[in-house]
Amino acid sequence: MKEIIKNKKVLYILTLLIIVLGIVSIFVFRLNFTLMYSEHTKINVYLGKEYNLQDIKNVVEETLGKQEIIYQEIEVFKDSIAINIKSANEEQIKALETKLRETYEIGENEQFVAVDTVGHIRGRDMIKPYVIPMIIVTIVILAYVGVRYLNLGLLKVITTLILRLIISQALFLSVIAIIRIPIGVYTIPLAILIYIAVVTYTVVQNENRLEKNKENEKKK
Amino acid sequence: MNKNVIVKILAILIILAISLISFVGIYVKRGNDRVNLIPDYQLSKDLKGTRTAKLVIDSSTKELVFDSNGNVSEDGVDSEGNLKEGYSKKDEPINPKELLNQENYKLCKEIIEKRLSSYGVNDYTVRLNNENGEIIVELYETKNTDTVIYNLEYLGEFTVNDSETKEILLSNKDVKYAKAVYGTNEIGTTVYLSIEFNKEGKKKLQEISKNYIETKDEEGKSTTKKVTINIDGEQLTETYFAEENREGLLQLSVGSATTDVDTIQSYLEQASSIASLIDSGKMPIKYDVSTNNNLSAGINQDILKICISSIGLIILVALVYVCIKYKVNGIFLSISYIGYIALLLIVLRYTNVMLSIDAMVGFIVLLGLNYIFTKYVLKGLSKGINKKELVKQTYLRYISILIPVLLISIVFTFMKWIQIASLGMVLFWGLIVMFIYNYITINVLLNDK
Repeated sequence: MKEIIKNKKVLYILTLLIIVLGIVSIFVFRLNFTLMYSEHTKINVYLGKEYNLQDIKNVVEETLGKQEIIYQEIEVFKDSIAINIKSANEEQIKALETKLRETYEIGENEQFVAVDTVGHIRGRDMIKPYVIPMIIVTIVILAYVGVRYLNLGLLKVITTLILRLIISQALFLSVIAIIRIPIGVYTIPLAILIYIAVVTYTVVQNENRLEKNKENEKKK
Repeated sequence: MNKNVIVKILAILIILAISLISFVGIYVKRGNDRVNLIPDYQLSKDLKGTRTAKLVIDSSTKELVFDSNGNVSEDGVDSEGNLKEGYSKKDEPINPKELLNQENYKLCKEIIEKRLSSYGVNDYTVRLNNENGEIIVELYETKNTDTVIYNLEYLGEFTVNDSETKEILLSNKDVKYAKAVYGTNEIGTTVYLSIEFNKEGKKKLQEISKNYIETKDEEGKSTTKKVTINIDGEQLTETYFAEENREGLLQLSVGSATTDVDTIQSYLEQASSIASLIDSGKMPIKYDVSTNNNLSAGINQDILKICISSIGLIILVALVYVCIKYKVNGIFLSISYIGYIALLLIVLRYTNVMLSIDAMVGFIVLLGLNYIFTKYVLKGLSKGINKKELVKQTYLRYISILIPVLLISIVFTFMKWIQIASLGMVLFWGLIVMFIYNYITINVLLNDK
């Protein structure tokens, strides 16, 4: 028993430490966002003839260097492509244009490359649509848990669930901030997955306690 | 052959057939093509791609006529377009330099987001380039996408003017809200643009309704003082008031039709579109749509493939473990588990559930829950619990555990944002299929110890 309590204490201290480190990391280094969520350069290439993606990739790698690049087809005719890249200077873009002009035999005066600077997506804009649904869901679940496990102590059951939800999300965010995992399209779904896992785990635990209580009562 | 064995073989064949239909499809020859009879998955913008429009600040100029005092005048040009004496012309930028700052860029972004929400666009991203004010809007493609995008070019400047002097009597800041409404009587359905004014606007409207009326002199000759109602300087209507307006509510008829649903719908769309412009406020800067393209999904396909493969691998390992540990019953329930995935995918196709990255969470949760469910049943059987009793026990236990997940699914399903609704619907259908399907397969496939 003493061992369990000691282990729990270590776990709590470790959790607290990670959260504190995470908060410090957010303030000092800011959060890291994926290419498509941060400000980046989008090079739109309108070739006017069907391209082979691997050929385009080779040309891009040769002229812009090895880095994270996301390709998007423009329209459905496979004759235009958007190349998303963290940044590219004028020289690199000129080199890309020249190489593509040679490869696809595009006329000297033909304008076929357009460069856009794409603004970043703010973290709060990512979270905004999820705030109200999560608040509603949490209230509904707390109400259910409160009623269902009333015998286990209303306050205890509810505060345990709230604390677990807050700590698990804080821990998740802290790990992201410390390891510098880029925030992107998978981040919020992962946070929801953790939320559902914590709720389900807590409910299973409460069900077991309820069952144990019933068995004890039967024995008496 | 034992009847029980025949039923089991039949059940496994049905599961295999469902799996084949779901993972491969049913193809028939139509002309030169082979067409899958099973409907395609509905994919959200993060998986399918987006309509992407770039909005740039309008750099054009407009010709203004000034009177001798340097004030902008509407009377400085004669009917032939020549400048009258004492007036001068000057080209002025549509967007004066002093308006081009980060504060106004941000305000425009917010107004665009409001407009998209009020147009019913439930999956969008708006990106602002703080340096040059360019805005990139990414939308899920629908039949109204073009209309929505080109409506973003409007400033949304609502004014009620004196029809003669052009004096502005009411503007956006006097409006509380605007919406499209319709009324039906014996003649047909009339669609209105309904504008409710705030406290200040209500007072102004009351005054206007007293002054802008039809009057008759002693000889019975009538004179009418009218107002014009405009959006971005374009006149929507010219009207006058038959009685004093005390309610602070202005209802403008957009159109009426007897029974033609399409016409009524079109009037409703027009009215809603104008209402959205008024409701979301006036943009300080005029934007132009510079490019408007369909772009394929901007996700890293490699990461997505790794995620899906990892999930597949975990399932495979878990099922192999179950087969080894629980022998025949383990093999049966492993086949049933794959059948569950296949059936769920078919149900999602036929119920037109939009699949998104968020929906993947739903799949992971369902796969996990179904695995725990399966293992719980197998464990019970291996302990020698009677099948009927075990089914009862399992369902009773699982209903109480799964209620929170069911609540999440119901709440999320009713949300407008596609990503959240998608997760909710996957969870909802997944739970329904899990309960019914598992009940049947456990009863048909498993043997008592």
